[in-house]
Parts: sequence; C-alpha cells; structure tokens
Amino acid sequence: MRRYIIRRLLQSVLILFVLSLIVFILLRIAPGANPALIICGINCPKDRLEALEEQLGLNDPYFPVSVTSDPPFVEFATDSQYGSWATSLFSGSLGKDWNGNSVGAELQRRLPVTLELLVITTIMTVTIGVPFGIISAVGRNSPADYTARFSSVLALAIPNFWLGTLVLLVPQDQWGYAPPITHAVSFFDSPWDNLRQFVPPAAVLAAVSAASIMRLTRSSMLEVMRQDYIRTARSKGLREQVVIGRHALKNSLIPVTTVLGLQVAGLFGGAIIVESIFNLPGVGVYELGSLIRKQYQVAQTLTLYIGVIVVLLNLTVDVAYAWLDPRIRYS
Amino acid sequence: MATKSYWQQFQRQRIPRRRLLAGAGMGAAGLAVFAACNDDKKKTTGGATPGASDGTPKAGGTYRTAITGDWGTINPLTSVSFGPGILAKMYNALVVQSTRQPDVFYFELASEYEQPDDVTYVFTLRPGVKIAPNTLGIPERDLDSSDCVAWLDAIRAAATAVAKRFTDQWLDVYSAASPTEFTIKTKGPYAYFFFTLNTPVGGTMPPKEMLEMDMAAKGAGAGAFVLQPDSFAETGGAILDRNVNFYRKDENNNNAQLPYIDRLEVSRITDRQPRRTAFVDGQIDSYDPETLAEVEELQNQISGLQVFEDPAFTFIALTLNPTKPPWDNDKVRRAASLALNRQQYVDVIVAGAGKPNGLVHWPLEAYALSPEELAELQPYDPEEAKRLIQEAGFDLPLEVKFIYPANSDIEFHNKHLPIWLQQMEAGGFKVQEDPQEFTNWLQNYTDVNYDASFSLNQIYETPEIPVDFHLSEGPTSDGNFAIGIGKLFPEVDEAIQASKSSVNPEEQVELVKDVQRLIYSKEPAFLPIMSWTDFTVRPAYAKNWPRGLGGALELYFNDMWLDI
Repeated sequence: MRRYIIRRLLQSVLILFVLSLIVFILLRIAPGANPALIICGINCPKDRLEALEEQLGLNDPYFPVSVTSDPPFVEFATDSQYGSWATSLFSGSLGKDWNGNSVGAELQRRLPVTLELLVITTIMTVTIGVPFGIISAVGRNSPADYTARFSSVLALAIPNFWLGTLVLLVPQDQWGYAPPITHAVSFFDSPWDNLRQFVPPAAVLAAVSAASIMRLTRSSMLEVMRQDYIRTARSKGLREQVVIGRHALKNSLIPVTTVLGLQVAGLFGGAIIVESIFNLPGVGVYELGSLIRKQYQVAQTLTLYIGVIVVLLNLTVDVAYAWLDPRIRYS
Repeated sequence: MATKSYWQQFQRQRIPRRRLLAGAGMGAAGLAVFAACNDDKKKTTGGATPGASDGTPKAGGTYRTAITGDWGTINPLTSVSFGPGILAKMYNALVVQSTRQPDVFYFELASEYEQPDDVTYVFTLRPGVKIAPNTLGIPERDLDSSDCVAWLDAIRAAATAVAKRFTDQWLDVYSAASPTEFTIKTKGPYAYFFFTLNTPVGGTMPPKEMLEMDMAAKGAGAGAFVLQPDSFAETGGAILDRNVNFYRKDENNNNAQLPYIDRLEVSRITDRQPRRTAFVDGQIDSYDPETLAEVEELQNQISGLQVFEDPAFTFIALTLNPTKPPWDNDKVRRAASLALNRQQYVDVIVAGAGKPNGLVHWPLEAYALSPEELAELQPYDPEEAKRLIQEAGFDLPLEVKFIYPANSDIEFHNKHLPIWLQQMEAGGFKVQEDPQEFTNWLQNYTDVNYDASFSLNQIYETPEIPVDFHLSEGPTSDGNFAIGIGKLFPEVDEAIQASKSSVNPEEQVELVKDVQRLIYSKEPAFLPIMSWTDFTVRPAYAKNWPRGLGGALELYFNDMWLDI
C-alpha cells in the first residue's frame, strides 16, 4: 500500500505539471481583450496601456526556454511568465493579481468559507442521501421508495440557481427573514449567525448531491442485496438490520464513495452560483471573476489548487476502497 | 444580472461615486453660498454644506453600503473602478468643480485660489487639514504644499497613473512657494483643469508618506475617514472610521465636528437579489433599484423610504467608423441619425425615466443643447433617412455591418439592440449583425476594428469625454475606441481643442455648445442615444445626503448623518 501511495503521488506531480501547462497556455491563447486593457480603464491611451503591459509582465516571454531560428536554437529567459508563476507557487506566496493584491491572502480569506460550505453540504448529503437510499432500496416499490425517488428526481430537476433564489426570497417576503449577507460571519464570532448564513446555501447544494447519492445508494444496495452472501447471511438467521448494516451497506458504498469524492472535489473549487446568490466570498466566485477579468495569476493558481485537491481526493477515495472492500489490495 | 457599464462586465458595477455615497437633496439657497464669488480671479472659501432641512444632526452610527464588483485597487494613482468612491473619503482634492453646474466650486484642501492669468493657478492651502490617527506611522500633521508637489511628482513618474495623460498634455510646472501656497501652471488654458486634477479618479491626493507605502491595500489621509487596518480586501469590502482630526465643522450646527457618521462599512454584493434582500432586511442602508416599478415595490415594503433620483452620467452611443464606407458619406451618417428614435429607447427600456441625448448628454445640464434645439438638429424621420440613402447613390435597403457583444451584461446594452435593429430597418438599412464574445468585441472596439458598433457605456463625467469622441484620433487621441469626423473635417478637431481653451465657466459652456453645433453640421459618427435616471433608495434615518451637483463633487461632502 505504501508503494502504491508513493507511486500515485509521483504520478500526481506529473499530472499537475501537465495541468499547469494546459491552463497557462489556454489562458493566453483564449481570444479576448488584453488584460491590461481591462485594468487600464475607460478611454485608456495607448502609452498607458503599453506601460501597464510592461508592468504586468505581459511582454515577458511565456516560457523560460524558447526555440529560436538562430544558433544555438534555444534561448533562455530569466524573466518568463511561466517561470514567475512557478516561482510564486514554490515560494508559497502564490503571487499577486494585476492590482498587486496577494493571491495567497485572498485564498486564505476565502478558503474557510468554501471549506465550511463543503463540510456542511457533505454532512447534509451523506445524512440525507445514504439513509434514504437504504430506505428506498430496502423498501423497494413501497410508498417510501416512490416518495424518495420522486423527491430525488425533483431535486435533480430543479436548477439550483432558482432554488437558491427562492430560499433567499421567500422567507424575506413572507416572514421578513434574511440570513446575513454583507460579509461572511465566522463560527467563532457568532455560531448562530454563521449557521444561519451557511446552512441555507449548503441545503441548496445538498439537495442535488443528496439526490444523486440517494439514487446511487439505492441502486448499489439493490445490486448488493441480490448477492449470494446476503442470502447466506439471512439464512444464518441474522437480523435484517445486521444484514443491511454490516454486510450490504459497506459493499454498496464503494461506488457511493467514488461519487461523493468527486462531489467533494467539486465543492473545493467553490459553488459559483450559490456563492453569488448568498453572497458568500468563496473560492468559486473568486475563480470566476479571475477568468472574466483575465487575472492570469489568480486563474492559474486556483485551477492548479483545484487540480491538487482532485488528485489528492482521488487518492484518498482509492485508499478508502481498500478499507471498504478487503478484497481490494494495492501493490 | 444587468450591469451598468463597461466596468460592470468586469467589476459588476459602474464607477461607484454616485452609487456609493451620492444622495440627498440640496437646497437651492445653499447653492448660492458656493456660487458666490467676490472676484473673478480670487475665489473664497465656500461656506458650510447646504443640505436639506432634516432636523438637528446627530453624531454617530455606521452607514453601510455595498459595491457590486471588485475595487479595482484603492491606489489613488491607478484606481478607476470602485476605488475612487472611497478615495474621496480618505484623501483630499484642492478644489472640486461641479460638472452639472460649472460655476459651483467646492474648496477642499485649498481655501481659495487666484488665477493671475489663464494658465496659472495659485492655491492657498487651508490650515488644519490634519491627517487622521493611523497605524501606518504617518504623523498627524497638517497637509501642506509639499504633499501637492509629491503627488504631482508621483503621477509624472508613474507610467500607469490615470492622471498621467493630464500631466503630460497640460501640466507645465508646479511649485510650493511656502507650506500654504501651491502654484500650478498649465501649458495652455484648459477648461477642464479642475475636473481632471481634482476628481477621485486619478486626482485625489494622499499624504506624501503614503506614496512610499502599498497604497493598494492601505489608506490614511486627511479626508473625513480613514481606512481601518486589515479591513480592505480587493474582492471584498472595506471599513472606514471617522477621522477625528477632520478639518471641517458644520457651520449650520454650532460648528459641530464633521463627519457625523462614525463609520462607513462597504460590503461587496455582486448580485442584485441578495443586495436587495440585504437592503430590505436592514443590513445595508442604500440600494439602487433598477426601475421605477422596483422603487414603488420597495416603497410599499418600507415605510418612510427616501428615493433619490439622479441622472446617470452614462449612455450608449451608436459609433460609426467614418473612414469606412458607407459611413464616410455624410448623407448616410445623417440617415442613421434620422432613423434613431431616441425617445423610444427612453419609453421602452426605462419606462420614461430618462431623456434623449444630444452629443453632450443631458445630465451635464449647462453643456447640453436644449431639447428644442436637439429636435431640429437630430430629428426622427425614417422616411427622410431612406430618401437620403438613395440620394447618396445607394439602393434600399443599404447593407451595413455591425458588431456587438453577444454576452454583454453592460447595463441596457442588450436592450438597445433590438430597438435599434428595428429602427434601422425602418430607416432603410439592412444590418449585418456580427455578435462577438464580450472581450473579443471589447478588443475590436478598442482597436476601432469595426464599421459600426455600440459604444461602451462609461461614465461621462465631463463634456470633454463625449466631445473628444469626435476627434480625428478619438477620445484618447491615439486612435483607440473611435475615429471621429475630425478625420474628415479638420475644423472639427480645431473647434474641439478650442472648446477646451477657456477657463471661464460661462464661456466654456458656450464653446462646448458651439462645437456640438459644428459637429452636427458635419454629420457626427458618434451618436449618444439616451441617458436614464438612476434611483437610489435609503431608509428614513439616512439624512442630508448630498446631491445635485455631480458625483465627483458630492463625494467630498461629509455632513450626512443617521437619525438612529
């Protein structure tokens, strides 16, 4: 197992390097306005625009190594855009945006918001999705099953931007109630206000993810419960709760773990729509803004950060398989 | 979500001077205090801020508001987006002139100035303009002329400074004869000297010690408020605390210390729905309804709601490239203007809360031509448009190319388009649409890589900007954004430059009007359509909000108060 983990980590380094190149290149070849133009402002004269391009390093070569037509056919650059970015990553500062603000500081401010949203959403997803999936599977074709399946389809069909808007609007309109909106409230400053602020958006996110988990748990459970060892367990006289809880559930959670891992990885990148509706200063809106405003440093760094999360989470999920299913052994 | 300007695409709200802090009514009697002038050459200190009679002001409270995008830095050298809104609260200008009523001046750091000739301004600095207590190590001293010198030096040295264009084109020399005397000489008489030097965009002046610091994240000056340390985030909000050393007193209230408000809290709420929810819930103290209908909804929800209507200093224009056929033909340009029914945009898009524009938009009041004159200069007559197209030698319908941003959320951009297409068809044109991704369109628009396009709707704070769109090399004088009919008629360029040459406000107004008439006679290629009315609502307890003189000037007023 140790060798497996090390091998996976080494592969991850290669994956992340390729990811960094892809996002770096894509941002620069994507059509659109010059980033300096976006910063420069209204009626920006050409000389100021050129000065900004120089200041922002947009005139630097893309890579530290470039191919030339003259001998020795390779040119090295001390200042390159990729090199500067890579240096900022390895130094830990994560660089600065076009206005000179630290990406690291901004991420530090936003990550707790995203993490809290992620944790609450995941808790709600698991505590709603898995039990209802079990109920639905065990009580197949019962009223409970139909209700659960209908609810899950409904939750999947409703766009989360619409649901989120309703969750914000209806209480305000009917009862004069609104969660804190102007800024993120820390749990340690005011637990109640913090939960008031985070539970509604988490519920909106969890509606969709719990529905997916519920359906997956149900189908996985149904498949597992058809297995011979389940019949054997029953024929040994074990109570149904033991059969379901100890024998069926663990094996049915393998695909659920995969999907849950992907959902969690996605949430690490933020939830743009929900963050916008509830005005949560998370990573998602930060990334969206950076892409719109062509903030290369920010967009690259955040994409790479999401890549790291996904890679590590996938590894965690794979390791979790071995725990869930003793038949799975990595070498 | 509809956004209001070019910067909304990126910043999610237009430059926030008006939105952030502009507001309440101002008594006409009070204006006379500012307009009074004993001597043509020497201006005296303005009196106390005129304000609505809301009762006896109370000190204290926190005023909470929201911006809808990123700050775009609070470095006063380079800030162009929301930053200027609070720069005017932290730092100082010398003298600020109203854009709506150009004979009205507000004396800030300078208590008076003399103009011995048309290119020389001698400012007498006010004593006691003291820097706020701060954690940046800046001494709590009075600002003096060395700060003015350092500021202009910094602009000149910074290739990316917003005001660098002004210093390069117009600034000759400047000097400090004494700590309280500061002299500026321009290269020639410049009508927009006060607007350019003293607006929060590029002109608000920090103490010289700040110039050595990271001004993108820190702020301490002699303005009414000081930035609370570590409260600012580029993609977040900011908190400003009252400057206890602020030099102004309220002469109408026993010389009470200003500002009355203890704190300004600015949040960032990009989307309209949560912003509205926050306002209705009492989490913020101002909100910008999109329409009159929304204002009425809010009035039904919140008793005592104050509604402020102010003209938006912005518009969308039809921009034609007069170097490309058929727009190089004056009859065809005239036909495009005749096909424009500007009132229809006002009626359909903003339900009548606005007015058609001439070449200088109506919010600039003194500089704009009267509706009666505009009715003669830019009538609506689609049949005449068709006749002119044929007279120009073209068959009907005349095919023209048009680029526009397909995914723009600039305020009202997408609402102008269908109306315009319909009107052009009625006027004998057939438009070949070329929708482009927004940033692609922006680049093409900047490079004037178009036959025809809608303009960006930027803030046109002074008449200089819309008039400059008719210059041969466009508003930046280097071929970006537009090519004006000055390219075809050099006398237009001459007239525009001449319109900037008077430092007498009344003469300036007439020059601007005359240049508009000249441009009309040559058939302009930049056709502003309409400006609308902006609404701001505040709860009943937000008192004495400045308004009526134009956003840049009003930002320096700090005698609003909260009745809580």
